[in-house]
Amino acid sequence: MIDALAAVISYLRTDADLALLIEDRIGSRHRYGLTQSGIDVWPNGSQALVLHPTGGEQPDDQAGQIRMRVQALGYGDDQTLASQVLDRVRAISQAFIRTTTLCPDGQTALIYWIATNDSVEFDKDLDLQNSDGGRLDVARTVLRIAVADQAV
Amino acid sequence: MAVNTPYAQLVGPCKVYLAPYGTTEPTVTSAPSGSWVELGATTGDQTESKDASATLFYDNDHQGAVKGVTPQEDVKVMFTLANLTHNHFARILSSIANITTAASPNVSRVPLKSGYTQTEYALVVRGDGDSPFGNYPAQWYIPRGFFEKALSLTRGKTARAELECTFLVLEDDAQSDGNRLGWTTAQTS
Repeated sequence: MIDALAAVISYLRTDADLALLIEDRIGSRHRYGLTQSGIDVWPNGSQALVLHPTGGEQPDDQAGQIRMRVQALGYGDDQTLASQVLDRVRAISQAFIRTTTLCPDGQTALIYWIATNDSVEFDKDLDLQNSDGGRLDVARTVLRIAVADQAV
Repeated sequence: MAVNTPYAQLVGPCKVYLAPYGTTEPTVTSAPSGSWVELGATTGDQTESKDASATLFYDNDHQGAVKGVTPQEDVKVMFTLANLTHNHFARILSSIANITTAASPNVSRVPLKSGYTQTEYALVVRGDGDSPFGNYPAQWYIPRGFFEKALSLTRGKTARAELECTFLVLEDDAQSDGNRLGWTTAQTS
C-alpha cells in the first residue's frame, strides 16, 4: 500500500523551482526542533512547505485510489515570502499530469492529481519565530490529491 | 418491532464478471475462473434492475381491472467501470477481437464503432456476503445479453474517466422457460 502523503511530498521535492525556495524544508509538520519555551526558532529567511492531511474528501477505496484533502502551508518571514511557496505549489498543480514518483520506501507511486481546492488565506504562526524573534507568516490553501493505492 | 432478518439486508459492492455467451454459471462458492473475466474495478455501486410494466384489462361489469398481464420484461445490470484497460473497453464496445496492435511505436487500437450486430456475453454479478441466508456468497447469472453502446467518458483536473455500463439481458432459449432471463443463486448454509 502506498503512503499517498509521502508520495506527494516526494514528488514536490523533485521540483527544482520549489527547492530554490524551501530547500528540503518540506514535510507533514513544521516543529522540527522545539525549544524549551515551546517556540520553534528558524533562521532568518527560511521558507518552508508543510502538507497536513485534513478531512472532507470522498474515499475511493473500491476503485483503488487514495484520495485526500491536504492543507498546504507555506511559511516565510513575511506574507510575500510565505505566498511565494504556495504560488509555486499552485503552478505545479496547474501543470500537473498523471505521473509516477519514487517514494522513500522504494515503491513507485502513481499520482493521479494534485489540485488546489481553496483560495489562499494568510495568518501568523505564533509557534514559529525567526532569529530576530519575529513570528513567521503562513499562507494556507487546500490541495486535493489522488494516488493509486498500489505501487506501479 | 418488525420481524427482522439481519442477513436479508444486502449491502456492499459486488464484483462483475463477463464471459462469452454460452458459458455456464460458475459455482457460487468460488470465484469465477476459466472464461470468466472480472470487469473491475467498479466505483462501488452495481445495480440490477427488472422492468416489467403491467397491462390491465377492464370490462363493463367492473370498476377495477379484471385481469393483468406482463407483456414485456426487461432485465438489465448497471455498473460504472473505473478500470479502462483496452481489453475491458473493447468488450464493452464490442469484442476484444477488434483490438489491433502495431509496433514502432507499440500501440493498441480499439475501434469506436460497435456495429449493428452486438457481441453477446454471459454476465455474473457476485458478492461474497450477498446471501440473505447468512454470511455467504450470492450471485446473479445472466446467460445472454449485450452492452448498451451509449458511452460517455468525462475526465478533468480532479475527475476520473468512468464508463457507465448497461448490460441488457436477452432471452436465452438454451435455458428452461423460467430461466431464460437469468437467475440469482445464493448459498444457504
